[in-house]
Parts: sequence; structure tokens; C-alpha cells
Amino acid sequence: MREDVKDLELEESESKQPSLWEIFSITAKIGGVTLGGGYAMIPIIREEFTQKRSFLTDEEFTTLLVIAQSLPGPIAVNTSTLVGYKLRKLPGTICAVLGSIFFPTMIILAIAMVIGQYYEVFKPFLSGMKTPLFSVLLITVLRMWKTDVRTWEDIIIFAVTFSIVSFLKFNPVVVILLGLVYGVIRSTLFKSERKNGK
Amino acid sequence: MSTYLELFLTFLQIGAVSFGGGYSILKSISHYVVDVSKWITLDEFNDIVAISQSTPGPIGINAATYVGYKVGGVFGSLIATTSVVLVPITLSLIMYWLYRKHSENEIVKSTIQKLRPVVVAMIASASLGFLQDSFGSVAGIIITIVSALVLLFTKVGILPLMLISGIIGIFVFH
Repeated sequence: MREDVKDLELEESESKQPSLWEIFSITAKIGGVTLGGGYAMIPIIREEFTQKRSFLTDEEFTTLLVIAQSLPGPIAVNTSTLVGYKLRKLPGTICAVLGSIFFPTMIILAIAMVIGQYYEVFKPFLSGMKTPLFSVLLITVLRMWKTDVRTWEDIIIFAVTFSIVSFLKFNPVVVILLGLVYGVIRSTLFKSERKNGK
Repeated sequence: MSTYLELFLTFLQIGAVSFGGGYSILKSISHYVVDVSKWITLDEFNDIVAISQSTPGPIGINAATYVGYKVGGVFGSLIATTSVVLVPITLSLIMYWLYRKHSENEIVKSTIQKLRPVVVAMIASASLGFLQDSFGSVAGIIITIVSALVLLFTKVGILPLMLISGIIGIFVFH
């Protein structure tokens, strides 16, 4: 088992590595502007870690998202955990999580301590910041589409997931589990097809 | 049982059961901190929810920080916030480790492949949550269209875009 771990470390150290401070400061920056739930954070994490600095490939990023989605906890925290770990192991995880919750925690503390009654003043600024998020998420979907939605089957999976999450309000974790069951059954049943395809 | 220990155990549980994140976990949080522990009132809890909607950060973390502070001061908020992320972090790491161990397995590979469109669809679905913010006013519609164009055709990043929209918001959303 120990050898397994060593192999993993060797393999992963080949990719471009950010410093721990870089991980903290990037995730802090992201956490500071993530309004309206964790999903709004995904496009920014993707931009900062895959597009601006090639720490991760698009495909690696989506794989981490799949894992982050299947577990309890805020999606932003799970994604930071995994991105941090992938880049710099456990210290990376700690810096990424601390970073992503740094500003939210400070702001709530400030509200709880003193500025509770003044927070209305910041509301226009904050709702202004939320306005572009519809476009941001939609364009992220378009960009991810190229690498992650490739076949007709993928399009159907996309459409079914979109409908049951948006209109039937399915819990995301239930949806991932359903997808997991589908994926396992399908790949077990069509083993031969896959071999031919390769 | 000391208050700090109680805070730690309560938020450890909240972190462990908050599947799916977002507003689906509000019920479990209010169950623990309002009904069971009676640390804050339902009114206070609704205030936290309202504040969380317009400040950054996951609602679970924000609630933990606020309740922790109310119950045990700054140290209390530190404990509550740390404990709420402990289980999610641990599970994420275990899951990642399992994935790495089996990432060459054909079934694992193709299953992950099938889950990619699922994740993309969830992000698409999350965009619907911002319809009111983006299309609820004339200024909102203009900002929405301009930001789509900016993101598609320029190299301006998401963060500067949000900050500029925030500054515009000061003038148009007061």
C-alpha cells in the first residue's frame, strides 16, 4: 500500500506546481466573491486553475467536480479540498480550504460582532456583483460542453439531469448516485462494445 | 458537556449530513441549532439565511460561523467552522484516494465519463437560480448581456467583471 502512495506522488509531482501561498491567495480571492451558493464558484475556480495558470487540465478539473459532487458538504469546500490535494497534497488541501472560507468567515464574524445593522449599506454592491453570474455559468457550460458532452448519449444524460434537477428539484447527490448506477450498469453490459471502440 | 465540545459535535454532524449543499441543507441546520440546541431563535436563523444570500460563502459555513460566535465568541466560531468542514474534507480525500487507486479500471473510467455531462447539467441548472438577479431589472438585463459579450470576446476575467458590476450596482440598485 505504501508503494502505491509513492507511485501516486511521483506521478503527480510532474505537473506544474503552485506554491502553498499561491493556493491560499487564489482560493481566498475566489471565496471572497462567491455569492449565491457554491456553484457560482466553479467557473472562477476553473478559470483560475485551468485557463489562466495551467495547474490542471479541463478534463482533470471535471473529474474532481464529479468526485466533489458525490459527497456531503458544500461543493466549494469539497472542490477546494480536491484541487488543493491534487496540486500539493495535504498542505495544499489545508491552504485551499482555509483560503476558500477565509473571507466568508471574516465577513460573517464582522456582521455578528459589529456591523450587523450596517450591512444593508453593502447590499446594492453585492447584488450588482451577482448580476453577471447567469452569463458566467452559462458560458462555463458552453466551454465545458466541448470536452465533457461528446456523444448523443451524453446530450441525453445532460437533458435528463437538467430537467430533474431544475424542475423536480432532485438533490444533486441523489442525481450523482443515479448517474453512478447508470454508468456502472452500462459499462458492465457493454464491455465488448467498449473494447471494439478502443 | 462543555459548550465548545457541544458546538464541535453538533457542527460535525451538520457537516456530515449536508448532502448536496446549498439551500437543501437549511432544514438540517435549523433542526440542530434552533430545535435541538436552542442556541438561536428561528428569527435569528432566518436573518442568517438572508445575510448569507447576499454575502459570499456557503450557507453551512456562514451559519456555523455565526452560531459559533453567538454561543462561544470568536473561539466558538472557530470551532464551529472547523468542525463543519471536517467530515466533507475527510470524505473528499478518501474518495479521491479510492479514485486514484482504481482510475485505470475500465468501469471506473467509463462511469466517470458518463458523469461528466451530469455535472455540466447541474451547473446549467444552477444558472437558473440567478434569473431574478440577472433579468429582474432593465439594468440587470443590460449587465447580463454585456457581461456575456465581454466573457465571450475579451480576455477580461470573471473576478474583475463581478467587481465592476458591483460598483455599477451601487449606483443602480440602491
